[in-house]
Amino acid sequence: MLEFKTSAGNTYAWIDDIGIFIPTNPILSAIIRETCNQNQTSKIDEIEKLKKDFDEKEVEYYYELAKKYKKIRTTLKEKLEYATNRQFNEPILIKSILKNGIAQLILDVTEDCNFRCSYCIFSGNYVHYRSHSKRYMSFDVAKKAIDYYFSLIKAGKRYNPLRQPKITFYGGEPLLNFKLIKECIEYIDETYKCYKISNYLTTNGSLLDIEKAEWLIKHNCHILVSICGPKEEHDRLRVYRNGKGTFEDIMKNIKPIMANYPSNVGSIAIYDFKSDLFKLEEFFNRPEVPALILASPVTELEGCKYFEQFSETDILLFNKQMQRAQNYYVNNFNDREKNTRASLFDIIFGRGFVSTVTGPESLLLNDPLIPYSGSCIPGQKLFVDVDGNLHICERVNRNFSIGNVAEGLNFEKIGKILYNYNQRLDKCSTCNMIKMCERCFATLFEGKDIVYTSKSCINEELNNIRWLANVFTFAETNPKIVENEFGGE
Amino acid sequence: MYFRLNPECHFIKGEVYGAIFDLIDEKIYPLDLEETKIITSCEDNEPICDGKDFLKTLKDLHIGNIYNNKIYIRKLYFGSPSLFSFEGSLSQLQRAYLEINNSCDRNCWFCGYNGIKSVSAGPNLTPRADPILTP
Repeated sequence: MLEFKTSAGNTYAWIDDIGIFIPTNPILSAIIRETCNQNQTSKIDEIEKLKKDFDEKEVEYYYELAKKYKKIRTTLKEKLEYATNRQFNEPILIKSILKNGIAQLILDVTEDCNFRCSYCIFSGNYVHYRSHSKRYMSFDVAKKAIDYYFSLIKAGKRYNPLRQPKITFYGGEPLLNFKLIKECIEYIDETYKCYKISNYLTTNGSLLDIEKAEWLIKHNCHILVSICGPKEEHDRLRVYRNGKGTFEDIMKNIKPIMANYPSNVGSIAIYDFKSDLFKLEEFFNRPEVPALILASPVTELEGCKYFEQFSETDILLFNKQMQRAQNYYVNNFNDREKNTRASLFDIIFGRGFVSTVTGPESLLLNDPLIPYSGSCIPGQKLFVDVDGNLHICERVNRNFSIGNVAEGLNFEKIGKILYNYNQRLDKCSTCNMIKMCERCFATLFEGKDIVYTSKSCINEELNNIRWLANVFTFAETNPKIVENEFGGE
Repeated sequence: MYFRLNPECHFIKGEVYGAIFDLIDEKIYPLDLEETKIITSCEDNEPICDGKDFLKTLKDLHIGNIYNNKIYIRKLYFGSPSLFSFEGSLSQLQRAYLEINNSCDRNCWFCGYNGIKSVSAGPNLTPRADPILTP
């Protein structure tokens, strides 16, 4: 049980083995804590224990309420313990991947980039990740990857007939290999006509002229451009090889696209400890800027040199700014203009609040293949590098290949990765927020090794308590946001 | 003071009346007009005005509680509401129907109107909707 208190003074508890938030009080908390620890606590024992501190009738009342919740408690921890020490064979893995996986094929069409942004995981500042190179994917590799992906989609139809193929072109700067992207999309359109396919392209925008954009839009490709805010913010983070800022070139390219196809292009923002969040908020509300789809801080991974530039003062000031921004968002929420598109603060705070409240699954056990953490099963996504090797995700370093396009997924490798991974999750069985955990391979892999959760999850629970208090403080005054967002209630 | 239904108790409002569904105890509590108004107001986070005895009864049934401040209740759902919106997420069969025959001893005009044709009928049974469907 994880307890937290809002600024109005209300207390809540998150009960992980049900997946429920309940308003609580000292009596109910005490009873739930007792019943969590001991399965066979009688009402008489409980009343006897608590009647010194609380009213007897109240204890009796909350004992019955706790008993009601106990009816739907899953035996989560016991089942998960069992799964942790299991080795999974090929048929189990194939079934799981066909049922829940193959959500996306990501093609790393080139490792080359015309930018040299120091925060990029391929900048050389991250010791376990590749650096930029002149390597490009060939059509032969891409075709094999596409055919293999569609063979899985076809085989998985019996489990999920609604699944729609999604193909993402990734890099480097993918538009440096636009010829391959065109070939791939034309091949897919010709060969797999019966599928409703979504294509995605993440680009730095410098090579995105109107002709390319029109061709991509015509072929059902969603374009996401990396933009980090107004000129001074963007140019601090995103530069050419010679160090020159890239803002003006990108905005020049985007202008005609936004004039003609504003709904077909979006932006992705990155911020760090020196970013001015309020300037970013204003910038992404401008109509000439593509709607913001995603905003995230620079990823801090083990062995990363990027963060050496920030002093403790920088971090402290940024955290204060973040708190100010959150207060501003919460206090002005009802007065803000009703935009059809999300602002930066909507994405950082609003969407974050909503996903915290509505994201964790209730009454369901985690997948037994990965009982703890928020990791997907390797193979749920297929990331293909320029040589045709299959990887778990674009965010995971390349030391954990799970097959190749010629031979397909290697289930022996996947089984070994899962077994080793589950063994390292040594803190999870005592964790109070298993269902809320967002840690995954991307954050738990260190080089060729997997880090123990007892080492990496320090302060996690404390941070989560603070965050939940913020989220519920907001939800108490704006309950409709969560409900409207998902059409509930 | 505020009254809110517990997370596992969903208030469903019809055109006039409402009902409370307790998902754990699997009970349905139909409400009259006055009770529906009271619960509507409470679930909108309005302070308690009327129906204190009624709300006390609901509290005693463990389907709601009284609070000093406005409170946020995240209702209990099976699974995760945010995952419902994922495009193409796994479909689940909630119910299966077995058609044990395709004949009927009645001949209602609307039956089969949308194209369900009968294949066979016993000696005393009328094939479904044949007169309507046959041009």
